[in-house]
Amino acid sequence: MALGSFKSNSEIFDTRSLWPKDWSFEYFHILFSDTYFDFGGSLFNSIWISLAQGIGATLLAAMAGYTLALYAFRGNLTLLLVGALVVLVPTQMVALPLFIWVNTLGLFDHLLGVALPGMVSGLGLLFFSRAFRLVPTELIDVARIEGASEFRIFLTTLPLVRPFLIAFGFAHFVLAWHAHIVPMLVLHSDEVRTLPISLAALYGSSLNSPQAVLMAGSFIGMIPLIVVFAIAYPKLKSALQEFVAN
Amino acid sequence: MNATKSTALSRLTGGAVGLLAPFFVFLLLFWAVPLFKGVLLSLESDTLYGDSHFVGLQHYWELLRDSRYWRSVLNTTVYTLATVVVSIGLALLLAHGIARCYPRIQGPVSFALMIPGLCPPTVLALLFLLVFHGREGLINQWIVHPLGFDTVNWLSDPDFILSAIVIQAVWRWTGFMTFFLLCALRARPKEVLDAATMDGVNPWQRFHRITLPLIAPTLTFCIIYLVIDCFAQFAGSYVLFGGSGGANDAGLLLVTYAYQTAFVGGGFGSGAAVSLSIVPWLAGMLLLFFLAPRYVKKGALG
Repeated sequence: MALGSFKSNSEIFDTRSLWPKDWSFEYFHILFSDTYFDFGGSLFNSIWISLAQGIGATLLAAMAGYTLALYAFRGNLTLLLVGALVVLVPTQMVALPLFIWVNTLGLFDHLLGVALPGMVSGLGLLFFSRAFRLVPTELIDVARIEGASEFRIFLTTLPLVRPFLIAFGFAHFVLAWHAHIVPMLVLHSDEVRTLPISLAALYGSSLNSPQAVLMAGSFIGMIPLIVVFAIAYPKLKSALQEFVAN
Repeated sequence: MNATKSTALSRLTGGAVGLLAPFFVFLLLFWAVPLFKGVLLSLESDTLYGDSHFVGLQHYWELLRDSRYWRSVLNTTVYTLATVVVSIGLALLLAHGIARCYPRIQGPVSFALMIPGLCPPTVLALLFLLVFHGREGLINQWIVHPLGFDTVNWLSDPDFILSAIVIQAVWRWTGFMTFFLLCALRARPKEVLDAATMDGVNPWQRFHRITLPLIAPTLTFCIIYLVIDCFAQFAGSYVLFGGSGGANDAGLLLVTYAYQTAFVGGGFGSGAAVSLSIVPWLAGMLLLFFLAPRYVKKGALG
């Protein structure tokens, strides 16, 4: 695909050669000159929505998971089961009523209309309710004796589960980046569209859809993901290994 | 559960409720409410304008007699089974292979394998359009023709459409699954494996009796993840077939069908019914994957 973005339109469909004959940056120019759609705007929307979802979901799930892991109250298991149920009924399946409900809330065609629903993650709840059990209990005992507030204790434990936070945040960021059906339904006007939706629209728009521009757009659209991924990768690995070992 | 922890307070304090509440408020607002509304919607008539009225289970009843619906159920089932089996199988092989490499190249290799998973499904589908493209697609040019077979029209021949979607899903997820399994393989205690090797246990038994039970939790997670993704997958086939089911509906999946019914056909009620009917299929499929190993074991033991 990266190679495809340097090829000319006619050359792309000639699959006999993978390597472009003459390298051209022309299509990157077309892409950035917003001939087809507002590329910078779409990219910004994607980053905004994915960051909000990644951070929001991690925070919400970590807070709830912390409580479920460290309190053995009645109803603990019930809440975990609810989390499992959320995993079983992913957003894609309630996309239609969700879309109607988002309209009722007045969030139609608004970035928040995609970002807020995306902050619910059943998987996150299950993940963090296990992850926080790895925190040494002595630490929490001491904090409680010292009279620290629960929220304060939660904040102190965060550095201890940092790999887990990063691992989950990253996974959720990627999912949010790829989301298709909810953004497609909720975001209507060009200004609020995310990159995958804009690209898909470009693809379907005309018979002579500009393949090279599409490839260029996709290529640049992957760069933020790869950057985030490269940063998160070592943490991801250590978190997973620790998680699996327990 | 680890209930003996000294810190496990049996009663919630105010602060703890404060930590717990935001998640469940969001869950209620953006999951439970839409789900509830979806159930209500599926019981109402397909009126686009004006008031709809209550029709009870009529939509579900119609689905039972809808051949396109059964087609999409069948397609989704085949697609999911094939994707899980091929992808997990490949990932197991790859993870074992990578685990034997020099540690220094393990990181970059698994990193590179995961890149397809970072591609947006829409882009992936687009790339695959080139790969599967009728006469000039990569697969035909490089694999089918050199082997002396006739050109396969991957995207319009009903016999091949489903395998095209499966290949796409496998390509996307195998890297991630390999990564998860690799982490699980690394977490195996060395002593046990070494002891087994010393005792002359053959590689297959080592895998079957020692590795498999040790990585079972991770394997379970991978399978659940894949099954759910397969059932919820929309973007890939949406771009490949433009929201249709492909020729002769051979690539019609449940989510695509729900989308079609609701937005193309204009029947919100029946669309919601299709969406909700996915849940029991999904649950059934997960159950199948949990029960199957036990039956196989029983059969093997006689």
